[in-house]
Amino acid sequence: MGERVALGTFPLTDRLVFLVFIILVAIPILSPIGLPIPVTDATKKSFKLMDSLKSGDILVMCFEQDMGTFYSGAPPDEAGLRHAFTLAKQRGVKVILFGTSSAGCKVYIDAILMDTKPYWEPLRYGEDWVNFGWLPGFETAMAGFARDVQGTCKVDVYGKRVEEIPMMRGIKTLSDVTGIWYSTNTNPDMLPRQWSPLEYKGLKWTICQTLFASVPWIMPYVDKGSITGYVADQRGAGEYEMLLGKLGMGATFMDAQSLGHLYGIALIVMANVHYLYTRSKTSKSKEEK
Amino acid sequence: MALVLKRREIPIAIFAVVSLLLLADYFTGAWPDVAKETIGWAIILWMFSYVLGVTSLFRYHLTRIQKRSQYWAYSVVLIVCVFVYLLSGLLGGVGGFSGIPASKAFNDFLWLNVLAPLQTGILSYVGFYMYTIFFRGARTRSWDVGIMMIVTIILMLNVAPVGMALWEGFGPLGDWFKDVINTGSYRGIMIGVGVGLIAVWVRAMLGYERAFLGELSRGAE
Repeated sequence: MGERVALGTFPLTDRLVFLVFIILVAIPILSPIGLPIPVTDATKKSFKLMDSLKSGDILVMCFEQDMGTFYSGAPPDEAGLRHAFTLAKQRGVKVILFGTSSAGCKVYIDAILMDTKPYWEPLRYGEDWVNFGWLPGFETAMAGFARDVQGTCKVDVYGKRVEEIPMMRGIKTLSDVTGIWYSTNTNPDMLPRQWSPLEYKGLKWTICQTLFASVPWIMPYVDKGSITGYVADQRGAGEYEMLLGKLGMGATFMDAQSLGHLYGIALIVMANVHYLYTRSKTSKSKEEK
Repeated sequence: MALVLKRREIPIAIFAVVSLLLLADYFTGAWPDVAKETIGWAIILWMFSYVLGVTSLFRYHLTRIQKRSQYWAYSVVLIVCVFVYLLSGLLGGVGGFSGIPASKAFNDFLWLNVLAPLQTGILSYVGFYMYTIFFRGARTRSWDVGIMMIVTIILMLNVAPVGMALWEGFGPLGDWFKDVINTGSYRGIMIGVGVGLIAVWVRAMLGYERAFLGELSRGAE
């Protein structure tokens, strides 16, 4: 059993740092400042890929996420899902949802579906979209889905067999899927390993939604075309929402992120000024001695 | 017979045959049906690993309760939590069984209002500690650290919209660090990991790597 830590045991400076951090993050969430969010080429490209879907095209949205990173992963996923359901309604795009982590389907599908209810409510379940919940096996499940969709997604979340779901007729392998939105925090390389558009001819593109810190990880795959586009973190969500024309969680968090990062930089500068001052003072006193 | 089945050559042979078969199919596409079936087995085995995990968890904690080990009461809490969550989930509806709506609602409540905030809260601690590290640990003691600090600040301003609002150059400058320097480093790491994986695979085929059999690898004894 670990040592008990109460807030009172932290030094006063740490408590002050925590307090200012909480205030700075809370203010823009409660009252958004509305700083402009410049849209990067990467997010523009991903938006265009999604927007290129036509009637009858199949979009797979797979969620491999943990609850710990919910506020990084959920905003871009919610924006993507809103876009997908809008396309399903306007153009007849078919949307398949599932998660390869138990948290992925419980949180990222159930919770985000709660928030996007007005978007999927007018759609016909089983004909316009379907939810297969959790497919156990992580990468093995992805490999299974690529080779045998019907064998891997045997029943949906309501226990309905795949053969009884009208929109699933004719979807046998990954080559029958048009595009993929794959959401992950720290496992982005499972996507190009199992679902590469270079390997499956019918698959036109894949988008990886991941943490900002994981972007350099996927860039070699993006350069080679194994991953077609990416949306990064809350920043990507804010940008995607700007392109959708309807702001949401991502845009709200961007102001908080701006203030939080400025505060971090201020702390780094203060720490260094204090360090240099103390060092020069110590060396002066040594010289005097 | 029992002794024959316990021989370590049997799991090593299964591993070798399955991995070679999947590898051969990946590169040639010669046996798609066999590969498909093998992957299906792997998914089933994966599901069984959860049963194994829960069994081990119960065995460990029930022994703790039985022996009244230190903090054994926490083991009781854990077992009760596992049972409540499992039962509410099963009664809430599984497969063809439509379930009891109240049980499903309770299970969802536990997940969304207890487990999820706890997990997010634990990870959020990292944010707080990072900010105290900025204040306590971010000290430029050498040129190397100085370069790291400058790049950190540029990337922080690249990610947050305020950076671009202050100076547009933070956009392309941060992207360059991210897409060129960082990506180059990651490419090297990925090649290293790939080569390492091949080495582990060859070692496992030859029987040197035995961690997957629950033994120490040769050279690690």
